[in-house]
Amino acid sequence: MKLTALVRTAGACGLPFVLLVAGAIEFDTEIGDDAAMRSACLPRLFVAVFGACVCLQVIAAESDAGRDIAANCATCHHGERSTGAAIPGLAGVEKATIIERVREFRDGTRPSTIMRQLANGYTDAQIEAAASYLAAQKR
Amino acid sequence: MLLARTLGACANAAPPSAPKVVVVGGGYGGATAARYLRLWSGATIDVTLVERDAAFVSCPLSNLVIGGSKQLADITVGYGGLEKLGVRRIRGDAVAIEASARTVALAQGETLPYDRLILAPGVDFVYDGIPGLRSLAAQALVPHAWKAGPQTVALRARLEAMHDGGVFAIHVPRAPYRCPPGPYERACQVANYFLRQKPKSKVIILDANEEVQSKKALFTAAWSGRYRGYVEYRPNSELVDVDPASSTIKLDFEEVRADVINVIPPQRAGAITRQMGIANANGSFCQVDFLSYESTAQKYIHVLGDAIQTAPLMPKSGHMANQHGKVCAAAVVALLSDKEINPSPLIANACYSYIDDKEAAHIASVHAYDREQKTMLVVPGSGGLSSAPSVEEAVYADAWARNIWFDMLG
Repeated sequence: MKLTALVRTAGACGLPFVLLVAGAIEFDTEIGDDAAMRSACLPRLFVAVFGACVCLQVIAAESDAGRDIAANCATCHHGERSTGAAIPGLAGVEKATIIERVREFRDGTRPSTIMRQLANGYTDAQIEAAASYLAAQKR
Repeated sequence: MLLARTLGACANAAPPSAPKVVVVGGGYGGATAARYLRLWSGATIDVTLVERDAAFVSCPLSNLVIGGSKQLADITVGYGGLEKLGVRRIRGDAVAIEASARTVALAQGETLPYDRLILAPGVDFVYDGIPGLRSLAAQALVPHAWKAGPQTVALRARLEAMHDGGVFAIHVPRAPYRCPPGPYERACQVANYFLRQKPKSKVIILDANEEVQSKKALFTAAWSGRYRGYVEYRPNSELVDVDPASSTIKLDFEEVRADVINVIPPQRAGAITRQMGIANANGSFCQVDFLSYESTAQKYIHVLGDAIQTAPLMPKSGHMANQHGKVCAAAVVALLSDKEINPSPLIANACYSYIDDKEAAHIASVHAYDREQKTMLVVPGSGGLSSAPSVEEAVYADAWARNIWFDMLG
Protein backbone atom coordinates (compact mmCIF):
# COMPACT_ATOMS: atom_id res chain seq x y z
CA MET A 1 0.00 0.00 0.00
CA LYS A 2 1.43 3.31 -0.98
CA LEU A 3 1.86 5.99 1.58
CA THR A 4 -0.04 8.48 -0.51
CA ALA A 5 -3.08 6.26 -0.18
CA LEU A 6 -2.54 6.08 3.55
CA VAL A 7 -2.30 9.79 3.79
CA ARG A 8 -5.52 10.17 1.85
CA THR A 9 -7.21 7.61 4.05
CA ALA A 10 -5.99 9.49 7.05
CA GLY A 11 -7.32 12.69 5.56
CA ALA A 12 -10.72 11.14 5.04
CA CYS A 13 -10.99 10.17 8.67
CA GLY A 14 -9.66 13.37 9.86
CA LEU A 15 -6.37 15.13 9.63
CA PRO A 16 -7.19 18.80 9.83
CA PHE A 17 -4.34 21.00 9.79
CA VAL A 18 -2.06 18.50 8.77
CA LEU A 19 1.32 19.20 9.64
CA LEU A 20 4.48 17.84 9.59
CA VAL A 21 5.36 14.36 9.94
CA ALA A 22 8.61 15.12 8.91
CA GLY A 23 9.17 11.50 8.66
CA ALA A 24 6.69 10.76 6.06
CA ILE A 25 7.57 13.68 3.97
CA GLU A 26 10.72 12.33 2.60
CA PHE A 27 9.56 8.85 1.88
CA ASP A 28 6.18 9.50 0.44
CA THR A 29 7.39 9.48 -3.08
CA GLU A 30 8.51 7.02 -5.66
CA ILE A 31 11.60 8.99 -6.31
CA GLY A 32 14.58 9.78 -4.29
CA ASP A 33 15.80 8.48 -1.01
CA ASP A 34 16.58 4.93 -0.06
CA ALA A 35 13.67 2.73 -1.03
CA ALA A 36 14.47 -0.02 1.43
CA MET A 37 14.46 2.39 4.30
CA ARG A 38 11.20 3.81 3.10
CA SER A 39 9.43 0.49 2.98
CA ALA A 40 10.80 -0.42 6.38
CA CYS A 41 9.16 2.69 7.77
CA LEU A 42 5.77 2.19 6.22
CA PRO A 43 4.34 -0.23 8.79
CA ARG A 44 5.21 2.12 11.63
CA LEU A 45 3.70 5.08 9.89
CA PHE A 46 0.61 3.08 9.04
CA VAL A 47 0.14 2.19 12.66
CA ALA A 48 0.61 5.80 13.65
CA VAL A 49 -1.81 7.22 11.14
CA PHE A 50 -4.37 4.47 11.59
CA GLY A 51 -4.13 4.85 15.32
CA ALA A 52 -4.73 8.55 15.05
CA CYS A 53 -7.87 7.95 13.05
CA VAL A 54 -9.27 5.42 15.46
CA CYS A 55 -8.43 7.43 18.49
CA LEU A 56 -11.05 10.13 18.58
CA GLN A 57 -10.58 11.52 22.04
CA VAL A 58 -10.10 15.22 22.07
CA ILE A 59 -6.96 16.18 23.84
CA ALA A 60 -7.15 19.40 25.76
CA ALA A 61 -5.84 22.46 24.01
CA GLU A 62 -2.10 22.62 24.13
CA SER A 63 -0.19 25.69 25.08
CA ASP A 64 0.17 28.43 22.51
CA ALA A 65 3.90 27.70 22.43
CA GLY A 66 3.26 24.32 20.86
CA ARG A 67 0.68 25.82 18.55
CA ASP A 68 3.04 28.53 17.37
CA ILE A 69 5.88 26.12 16.62
CA ALA A 70 3.52 23.68 14.91
CA ALA A 71 2.38 26.57 12.72
CA ASN A 72 5.84 26.48 11.13
CA CYS A 73 5.20 22.88 10.14
CA ALA A 74 1.71 23.69 8.85
CA THR A 75 3.01 25.90 6.05
CA CYS A 76 4.14 22.82 4.09
CA HIS A 77 2.39 19.92 5.77
CA HIS A 78 -1.19 20.04 4.60
CA GLY A 79 -0.59 16.64 3.09
CA GLU A 80 -4.23 15.61 2.98
CA ARG A 81 -4.66 17.78 -0.08
CA SER A 82 -4.45 15.34 -2.95
CA THR A 83 -2.24 17.52 -5.08
CA GLY A 84 0.11 18.46 -2.27
CA ALA A 85 0.31 14.99 -0.76
CA ALA A 86 3.96 14.47 -1.60
CA ILE A 87 4.46 16.30 1.69
CA PRO A 88 2.38 14.40 4.23
CA GLY A 89 -0.03 15.84 6.73
CA LEU A 90 0.82 15.76 10.41
CA ALA A 91 -2.35 16.56 12.27
CA GLY A 92 -3.48 13.69 14.42
CA VAL A 93 -0.27 11.77 13.95
CA GLU A 94 0.96 10.16 17.16
CA LYS A 95 3.20 12.43 19.19
CA ALA A 96 5.94 9.82 19.63
CA THR A 97 6.04 9.20 15.89
CA ILE A 98 6.49 12.88 15.08
CA ILE A 99 9.23 13.25 17.67
CA GLU A 100 11.02 10.15 16.44
CA ARG A 101 10.90 11.23 12.79
CA VAL A 102 12.15 14.74 13.46
CA ARG A 103 14.99 13.41 15.61
CA GLU A 104 15.93 10.91 12.93
CA PHE A 105 16.09 13.69 10.39
CA ARG A 106 18.14 15.83 12.76
CA ASP A 107 20.57 13.01 13.49
CA GLY A 108 20.82 12.16 9.82
CA THR A 109 19.78 8.56 10.45
CA ARG A 110 16.85 9.11 8.07
CA PRO A 111 17.81 10.50 4.68
CA SER A 112 16.18 13.76 3.68
CA THR A 113 16.48 16.68 1.31
CA ILE A 114 15.35 19.64 3.44
CA MET A 115 14.16 18.14 6.72
CA ARG A 116 17.56 17.73 8.37
CA GLN A 117 18.33 21.40 7.76
CA LEU A 118 14.99 22.47 9.24
CA ALA A 119 15.00 19.98 12.13
CA ASN A 120 18.40 21.34 13.18
CA GLY A 121 16.68 24.60 14.07
CA TYR A 122 14.57 23.13 16.87
CA THR A 123 15.40 21.93 20.38
CA ASP A 124 14.02 18.70 21.84
CA ALA A 125 11.58 20.72 23.95
CA GLN A 126 10.35 22.67 20.91
CA ILE A 127 9.86 19.50 18.88
CA GLU A 128 7.95 17.93 21.74
CA ALA A 129 5.71 20.97 22.17
CA ALA A 130 4.90 21.03 18.46
CA ALA A 131 4.35 17.26 18.36
CA SER A 132 1.92 17.45 21.29
CA TYR A 133 -0.09 20.11 19.54
CA LEU A 134 -0.08 18.29 16.21
CA ALA A 135 -1.05 14.96 17.73
CA ALA A 136 -4.04 16.63 19.37
CA GLN A 137 -5.34 18.07 16.09
CA LYS A 138 -8.16 16.25 14.41
CA ARG A 139 -10.71 16.90 11.78
CA MET B 1 -11.58 20.38 9.20
CA LEU B 2 -13.88 20.59 12.16
CA LEU B 3 -12.66 23.98 13.22
CA ALA B 4 -13.14 25.42 9.77
CA ARG B 5 -16.62 23.99 9.47
CA THR B 6 -17.61 25.37 12.83
CA LEU B 7 -16.25 28.74 11.91
CA GLY B 8 -17.99 28.61 8.56
CA ALA B 9 -21.31 27.92 10.22
CA CYS B 10 -21.03 31.01 12.37
CA ALA B 11 -19.18 33.05 9.81
CA ASN B 12 -21.45 36.04 10.03
CA ALA B 13 -22.27 35.70 13.68
CA ALA B 14 -19.48 37.81 15.15
CA PRO B 15 -21.09 40.21 17.61
CA PRO B 16 -21.00 43.91 16.76
CA SER B 17 -18.70 44.49 19.73
CA ALA B 18 -16.08 42.07 18.37
CA PRO B 19 -12.61 43.55 18.01
CA LYS B 20 -11.90 44.70 14.47
CA VAL B 21 -8.79 43.96 12.47
CA VAL B 22 -8.33 45.29 8.94
CA VAL B 23 -5.75 43.58 6.75
CA VAL B 24 -4.54 45.46 3.67
CA GLY B 25 -3.13 43.16 1.00
CA GLY B 26 -4.07 39.56 0.26
CA GLY B 27 -0.68 38.05 -0.60
CA TYR B 28 1.41 35.53 1.32
CA GLY B 29 1.58 37.72 4.44
CA GLY B 30 -1.83 39.37 4.55
CA ALA B 31 -3.93 36.36 3.60
CA THR B 32 -2.13 34.20 6.16
CA ALA B 33 -2.71 36.78 8.89
CA ALA B 34 -6.40 37.06 8.00
CA ARG B 35 -6.91 33.30 8.07
CA TYR B 36 -5.01 32.67 11.28
CA LEU B 37 -6.72 35.57 13.07
CA ARG B 38 -10.02 33.78 12.47
CA LEU B 39 -8.67 30.33 13.35
CA TRP B 40 -6.80 31.30 16.49
CA SER B 41 -9.41 33.67 17.88
CA GLY B 42 -12.15 31.07 17.49
CA ALA B 43 -13.83 33.48 15.07
CA THR B 44 -14.20 36.12 17.77
CA ILE B 45 -12.26 38.76 15.83
CA ASP B 46 -13.97 40.62 13.00
CA VAL B 47 -11.48 40.45 10.10
CA THR B 48 -11.72 42.54 6.93
CA LEU B 49 -9.32 41.95 4.04
CA VAL B 50 -8.82 44.79 1.57
CA GLU B 51 -7.32 43.49 -1.66
CA ARG B 52 -7.09 45.14 -5.05
CA ASP B 53 -7.17 41.98 -7.18
CA ALA B 54 -10.00 39.49 -7.67
CA ALA B 55 -7.79 36.48 -6.94
CA PHE B 56 -4.38 35.65 -5.54
CA VAL B 57 -1.66 35.05 -8.15
CA SER B 58 1.53 33.52 -6.79
CA CYS B 59 4.93 35.04 -7.47
CA PRO B 60 6.60 31.73 -6.50
CA LEU B 61 6.20 29.44 -9.54
CA SER B 62 5.45 32.40 -11.84
CA ASN B 63 8.83 31.93 -13.52
CA LEU B 64 7.43 28.62 -14.80
CA VAL B 65 4.80 30.60 -16.70
CA ILE B 66 7.61 32.61 -18.25
CA GLY B 67 9.44 29.39 -19.10
CA GLY B 68 6.27 27.96 -20.61
CA SER B 69 5.66 24.93 -18.39
CA LYS B 70 2.77 26.45 -16.41
CA GLN B 71 -0.15 28.75 -17.16
CA LEU B 72 -1.27 31.71 -15.05
CA ALA B 73 -4.39 29.74 -14.04
CA ASP B 74 -2.12 27.12 -12.42
CA ILE B 75 -0.79 29.70 -9.95
CA THR B 76 -4.07 31.53 -9.27
CA VAL B 77 -6.25 30.85 -6.21
CA GLY B 78 -9.49 32.61 -5.24
CA TYR B 79 -10.36 34.15 -1.89
CA GLY B 80 -13.46 31.98 -1.33
CA GLY B 81 -11.76 29.92 1.38
CA LEU B 82 -11.13 33.01 3.48
CA GLU B 83 -14.70 34.20 3.00
CA LYS B 84 -15.99 30.81 4.17
CA LEU B 85 -14.00 31.35 7.37
CA GLY B 86 -15.86 34.60 7.90
CA VAL B 87 -13.27 37.04 6.55
CA ARG B 88 -15.02 40.02 4.98
CA ARG B 89 -13.27 40.73 1.69
CA ILE B 90 -13.42 44.13 0.07
CA ARG B 91 -11.98 44.49 -3.39
CA GLY B 92 -10.35 47.86 -3.46
CA ASP B 93 -7.45 50.10 -2.50
CA ALA B 94 -6.65 51.47 0.94
CA VAL B 95 -5.63 55.07 0.29
CA ALA B 96 -5.40 56.86 3.63
CA ILE B 97 -4.96 55.98 7.28
CA GLU B 98 -6.04 58.16 10.19
CA ALA B 99 -3.87 56.74 12.94
CA SER B 100 -5.33 58.83 15.78
CA ALA B 101 -8.88 57.86 14.88
CA ARG B 102 -7.81 54.34 13.92
CA THR B 103 -9.57 54.32 10.58
CA VAL B 104 -8.50 53.41 7.09
CA ALA B 105 -10.14 54.96 4.03
CA LEU B 106 -10.68 53.10 0.78
CA ALA B 107 -10.53 54.58 -2.71
CA GLN B 108 -14.21 53.82 -3.27
CA GLY B 109 -15.18 55.98 -0.29
CA GLU B 110 -15.76 53.54 2.55
CA THR B 111 -13.96 54.17 5.85
CA LEU B 112 -13.14 51.17 8.04
CA PRO B 113 -12.52 51.46 11.79
CA TYR B 114 -9.92 49.16 13.32
CA ASP B 115 -8.50 48.09 16.65
CA ARG B 116 -5.43 46.76 14.86
CA LEU B 117 -4.41 47.40 11.25
CA ILE B 118 -2.18 44.96 9.39
CA LEU B 119 -0.45 46.27 6.29
CA ALA B 120 0.88 43.70 3.84
CA PRO B 121 1.23 45.89 0.75
CA GLY B 122 4.23 44.15 -0.80
CA VAL B 123 6.67 46.26 -2.75
CA ASP B 124 6.42 49.20 -5.12
CA PHE B 125 8.91 49.72 -7.91
CA VAL B 126 11.26 52.68 -7.87
CA TYR B 127 11.84 54.24 -11.28
CA ASP B 128 13.54 57.41 -10.01
CA GLY B 129 16.97 56.20 -11.11
CA ILE B 130 15.77 54.97 -14.53
CA PRO B 131 14.83 58.11 -16.50
CA GLY B 132 13.76 56.17 -19.59
CA LEU B 133 11.16 54.24 -17.61
CA ARG B 134 9.56 57.08 -15.66
CA SER B 135 6.41 57.20 -17.80
CA LEU B 136 3.76 54.53 -17.49
CA ALA B 137 3.87 54.14 -21.27
CA ALA B 138 7.58 53.36 -21.15
CA GLN B 139 7.11 50.96 -18.24
CA ALA B 140 4.51 49.07 -20.25
CA LEU B 141 7.12 48.48 -22.96
CA VAL B 142 9.55 46.83 -20.52
CA PRO B 143 7.60 44.44 -18.25
CA HIS B 144 9.25 43.68 -14.91
CA ALA B 145 6.99 40.64 -14.35
CA TRP B 146 8.00 40.92 -10.68
CA LYS B 147 4.38 40.89 -9.54
CA ALA B 148 2.70 37.82 -10.95
CA GLY B 149 -0.20 38.58 -13.26
CA PRO B 150 -0.62 40.28 -16.63
CA GLN B 151 3.06 41.26 -16.80
CA THR B 152 4.07 37.62 -16.38
CA VAL B 153 1.96 36.71 -19.41
CA ALA B 154 3.27 39.73 -21.34
CA LEU B 155 6.89 38.70 -20.83
CA ARG B 156 6.11 35.14 -21.90
CA ALA B 157 4.43 36.46 -25.05
CA ARG B 158 7.54 38.48 -25.93
CA LEU B 159 9.76 35.44 -25.57
CA GLU B 160 7.41 33.42 -27.76
CA ALA B 161 7.41 36.14 -30.41
CA MET B 162 11.22 36.44 -30.38
CA HIS B 163 13.07 34.88 -33.35
CA ASP B 164 15.50 32.04 -32.79
CA GLY B 165 18.91 33.61 -32.48
CA GLY B 166 17.62 36.44 -30.32
CA VAL B 167 18.91 37.66 -26.96
CA PHE B 168 16.99 37.95 -23.68
CA ALA B 169 18.60 40.34 -21.16
CA ILE B 170 17.46 40.53 -17.54
CA HIS B 171 18.66 43.20 -15.13
CA VAL B 172 18.84 42.37 -11.40
CA PRO B 173 18.61 45.34 -8.97
CA ARG B 174 20.80 45.83 -5.94
CA ALA B 175 19.68 43.83 -2.92
CA PRO B 176 17.41 43.95 -1.01
CA TYR B 177 14.70 43.04 -3.49
CA ARG B 178 11.77 40.60 -3.47
CA CYS B 179 12.81 36.94 -3.90
CA PRO B 180 16.63 36.85 -3.94
CA PRO B 181 16.95 33.73 -6.17
CA GLY B 182 14.07 34.75 -8.45
CA PRO B 183 16.04 36.50 -11.22
CA TYR B 184 18.44 33.57 -11.54
CA GLU B 185 15.59 31.05 -11.58
CA ARG B 186 14.00 33.14 -14.34
CA ALA B 187 17.23 33.06 -16.35
CA CYS B 188 17.21 29.25 -16.01
CA GLN B 189 13.59 29.00 -17.13
CA VAL B 190 14.21 31.13 -20.21
CA ALA B 191 17.41 29.22 -20.98
CA ASN B 192 15.48 25.95 -20.73
CA TYR B 193 12.92 27.30 -23.21
CA PHE B 194 15.67 28.38 -25.59
CA LEU B 195 17.51 25.07 -25.26
CA ARG B 196 14.40 23.18 -26.31
CA GLN B 197 12.77 25.52 -28.80
CA LYS B 198 15.12 28.34 -29.82
CA PRO B 199 18.59 26.83 -29.61
CA LYS B 200 20.40 29.74 -31.30
CA SER B 201 19.17 32.17 -28.64
CA LYS B 202 20.90 33.40 -25.52
CA VAL B 203 20.26 34.79 -22.01
CA ILE B 204 22.35 37.63 -20.53
CA ILE B 205 22.05 38.31 -16.80
CA LEU B 206 23.10 41.86 -15.87
CA ASP B 207 23.43 41.91 -12.10
CA ALA B 208 23.91 45.16 -10.17
CA ASN B 209 25.30 43.05 -7.32
CA GLU B 210 28.82 41.69 -6.99
CA GLU B 211 27.63 38.09 -7.12
CA VAL B 212 24.62 35.81 -7.38
CA GLN B 213 22.46 36.62 -4.35
CA SER B 214 21.05 33.19 -3.49
CA LYS B 215 21.75 29.52 -4.30
CA LYS B 216 24.91 30.69 -6.05
CA ALA B 217 26.58 27.29 -6.35
CA LEU B 218 23.44 25.71 -7.79
CA PHE B 219 22.80 28.41 -10.37
CA THR B 220 26.38 28.78 -11.52
CA ALA B 221 26.61 24.99 -11.91
CA ALA B 222 23.51 25.06 -14.12
CA TRP B 223 24.85 27.92 -16.26
CA SER B 224 28.18 26.22 -16.83
CA GLY B 225 26.57 22.78 -17.15
CA ARG B 226 23.21 22.15 -18.74
CA TYR B 227 22.96 25.75 -20.01
CA ARG B 228 26.55 26.11 -21.23
CA GLY B 229 26.52 28.50 -24.14
CA TYR B 230 23.02 29.74 -23.32
CA VAL B 231 23.60 31.90 -20.25
CA GLU B 232 26.10 34.69 -19.69
CA TYR B 233 26.36 36.18 -16.18
CA ARG B 234 27.78 39.70 -15.72
CA PRO B 235 28.11 40.93 -12.10
CA ASN B 236 28.65 44.59 -11.09
CA SER B 237 26.34 45.74 -13.87
CA GLU B 238 25.03 48.99 -12.42
CA LEU B 239 21.98 50.23 -14.30
CA VAL B 240 22.15 53.81 -15.58
CA ASP B 241 19.12 53.93 -17.86
CA VAL B 242 16.88 51.98 -20.19
CA ASP B 243 15.82 52.93 -23.70
CA PRO B 244 12.59 51.08 -24.46
CA ALA B 245 12.53 52.26 -28.11
CA SER B 246 15.83 50.58 -28.98
CA SER B 247 15.39 47.81 -26.38
CA THR B 248 18.65 48.80 -24.74
CA ILE B 249 19.88 48.53 -21.15
CA LYS B 250 22.48 51.21 -20.36
CA LEU B 251 25.14 50.34 -17.80
CA ASP B 252 28.03 52.36 -16.39
CA PHE B 253 30.44 51.46 -19.14
CA GLU B 254 28.44 49.77 -21.86
CA GLU B 255 25.08 49.42 -23.50
CA VAL B 256 23.39 46.07 -23.99
CA ARG B 257 20.81 45.79 -26.74
CA ALA B 258 18.64 42.71 -26.62
CA ASP B 259 15.55 41.45 -28.42
CA VAL B 260 13.64 41.09 -25.16
CA ILE B 261 14.65 43.12 -22.10
CA ASN B 262 13.41 42.51 -18.57
CA VAL B 263 14.39 45.16 -16.04
CA ILE B 264 13.51 44.35 -12.43
CA PRO B 265 13.45 47.82 -10.85
CA PRO B 266 14.66 48.59 -7.32
CA GLN B 267 11.92 48.20 -4.73
CA ARG B 268 10.56 49.70 -1.54
CA ALA B 269 7.59 49.13 0.74
CA GLY B 270 4.13 49.75 -0.73
CA ALA B 271 2.96 53.36 -1.01
CA ILE B 272 0.56 53.34 1.92
CA THR B 273 3.39 52.73 4.38
CA ARG B 274 5.39 55.62 2.98
CA GLN B 275 2.38 57.95 3.13
CA MET B 276 2.04 56.98 6.80
CA GLY B 277 5.69 57.68 7.50
CA ILE B 278 6.24 54.17 8.77
CA ALA B 279 8.76 53.17 6.08
CA ASN B 280 11.37 54.29 8.59
CA ALA B 281 14.35 52.30 7.33
CA ASN B 282 15.92 54.74 4.84
CA GLY B 283 12.43 55.66 3.68
CA SER B 284 12.31 52.31 1.90
CA PHE B 285 11.12 49.59 4.26
CA CYS B 286 9.28 49.41 7.59
CA GLN B 287 10.98 48.61 10.87
CA VAL B 288 8.89 46.32 13.03
CA ASP B 289 8.96 44.70 16.44
CA PHE B 290 9.63 41.06 15.55
CA LEU B 291 7.48 39.88 18.47
CA SER B 292 4.32 41.27 16.93
CA TYR B 293 5.27 42.88 13.57
CA GLU B 294 3.93 46.15 14.99
CA SER B 295 5.51 49.18 13.36
CA THR B 296 8.20 50.83 15.46
CA ALA B 297 6.83 54.18 14.24
CA GLN B 298 3.08 53.80 14.77
CA LYS B 299 1.15 51.94 17.43
CA TYR B 300 -1.70 49.61 16.42
CA ILE B 301 -0.31 49.24 12.87
CA HIS B 302 1.51 46.04 11.93
CA VAL B 303 3.52 45.42 8.75
CA LEU B 304 4.24 42.06 7.12
CA GLY B 305 6.13 40.49 4.27
CA ASP B 306 8.30 42.16 1.67
CA ALA B 307 7.46 45.64 3.03
CA ILE B 308 9.45 45.16 6.24
CA GLN B 309 13.07 45.91 6.95
CA THR B 310 14.18 42.32 7.32
CA ALA B 311 16.34 40.80 10.02
CA PRO B 312 19.85 39.57 9.06
CA LEU B 313 19.74 36.73 6.50
CA MET B 314 15.94 36.88 6.37
CA PRO B 315 14.96 36.81 2.69
CA LYS B 316 12.03 38.67 1.20
CA SER B 317 10.16 35.47 0.35
CA GLY B 318 6.55 34.31 0.27
CA HIS B 319 7.34 31.66 2.85
CA MET B 320 8.78 34.27 5.23
CA ALA B 321 5.74 36.50 4.71
CA ASN B 322 3.51 33.54 5.63
CA GLN B 323 5.52 33.11 8.82
CA HIS B 324 5.33 36.83 9.62
CA GLY B 325 1.55 36.54 9.20
CA LYS B 326 1.29 33.80 11.79
CA VAL B 327 3.50 35.49 14.40
CA CYS B 328 1.51 38.68 13.88
CA ALA B 329 -1.85 36.88 14.08
CA ALA B 330 -0.83 35.15 17.32
CA ALA B 331 0.31 38.47 18.81
CA VAL B 332 -2.81 40.35 17.71
CA VAL B 333 -5.10 37.65 19.13
CA ALA B 334 -3.18 37.89 22.42
CA LEU B 335 -3.15 41.69 22.48
CA LEU B 336 -6.88 41.91 21.80
CA SER B 337 -7.59 39.56 24.70
CA ASP B 338 -5.09 41.14 27.11
CA LYS B 339 -2.80 38.13 27.11
CA GLU B 340 0.98 37.94 26.96
CA ILE B 341 2.45 37.64 23.48
CA ASN B 342 4.92 34.85 22.67
CA PRO B 343 8.30 36.20 23.92
CA SER B 344 10.38 33.86 21.74
CA PRO B 345 8.93 33.40 18.25
CA LEU B 346 10.57 30.95 15.91
CA ILE B 347 10.07 31.01 12.14
CA ALA B 348 11.40 29.06 9.19
CA ASN B 349 12.03 29.60 5.50
CA ALA B 350 11.88 27.05 2.70
CA CYS B 351 12.44 28.33 -0.78
CA TYR B 352 12.52 26.19 -3.91
CA SER B 353 13.88 27.28 -7.28
CA TYR B 354 13.23 25.38 -10.49
CA ILE B 355 16.39 24.85 -12.51
CA ASP B 356 14.42 23.59 -15.52
CA ASP B 357 10.82 22.39 -15.90
CA LYS B 358 11.45 19.12 -14.02
CA GLU B 359 14.17 19.73 -11.43
CA ALA B 360 14.30 22.02 -8.42
CA ALA B 361 16.59 22.86 -5.51
CA HIS B 362 15.99 24.52 -2.15
CA ILE B 363 17.45 26.86 0.42
CA ALA B 364 16.18 26.68 4.00
CA SER B 365 16.73 28.36 7.37
CA VAL B 366 15.25 28.63 10.86
CA HIS B 367 15.22 31.99 12.67
CA ALA B 368 14.74 32.57 16.40
CA TYR B 369 14.09 35.80 18.30
CA ASP B 370 17.16 37.15 20.09
CA ARG B 371 16.11 39.06 23.19
CA GLU B 372 19.31 41.07 23.49
CA GLN B 373 19.47 42.20 19.89
CA LYS B 374 15.66 42.33 19.55
CA THR B 375 15.81 40.75 16.13
CA MET B 376 15.47 37.37 14.43
CA LEU B 377 18.72 35.44 14.04
CA VAL B 378 19.40 32.24 12.15
CA VAL B 379 19.58 29.31 14.57
CA PRO B 380 23.19 28.07 14.43
CA GLY B 381 23.45 24.77 12.58
CA SER B 382 20.08 25.12 10.89
CA GLY B 383 19.39 25.59 7.22
CA GLY B 384 21.31 24.96 4.06
CA LEU B 385 21.13 24.33 0.35
CA SER B 386 20.36 21.33 -1.82
CA SER B 387 23.50 19.54 -2.90
CA ALA B 388 22.12 19.45 -6.45
CA PRO B 389 18.82 20.02 -8.23
CA SER B 390 16.58 16.96 -8.51
CA VAL B 391 13.28 15.70 -9.83
CA GLU B 392 12.41 14.67 -6.27
CA GLU B 393 12.72 18.25 -5.04
CA ALA B 394 10.53 19.49 -7.89
CA VAL B 395 7.81 17.18 -6.54
CA TYR B 396 8.28 18.77 -3.13
CA ALA B 397 8.34 22.26 -4.63
CA ASP B 398 4.99 21.68 -6.28
CA ALA B 399 3.56 20.24 -3.04
CA TRP B 400 5.01 23.18 -1.11
CA ALA B 401 3.10 25.60 -3.33
CA ARG B 402 -0.22 23.81 -3.07
CA ASN B 403 0.11 23.40 0.67
CA ILE B 404 1.13 26.97 1.45
CA TRP B 405 -1.70 28.27 -0.74
CA PHE B 406 -4.07 26.19 1.36
CA ASP B 407 -2.38 27.38 4.56
CA MET B 408 -2.99 31.02 3.65
CA LEU B 409 -6.23 30.87 1.68
CA GLY B 410 -8.03 27.76 2.96
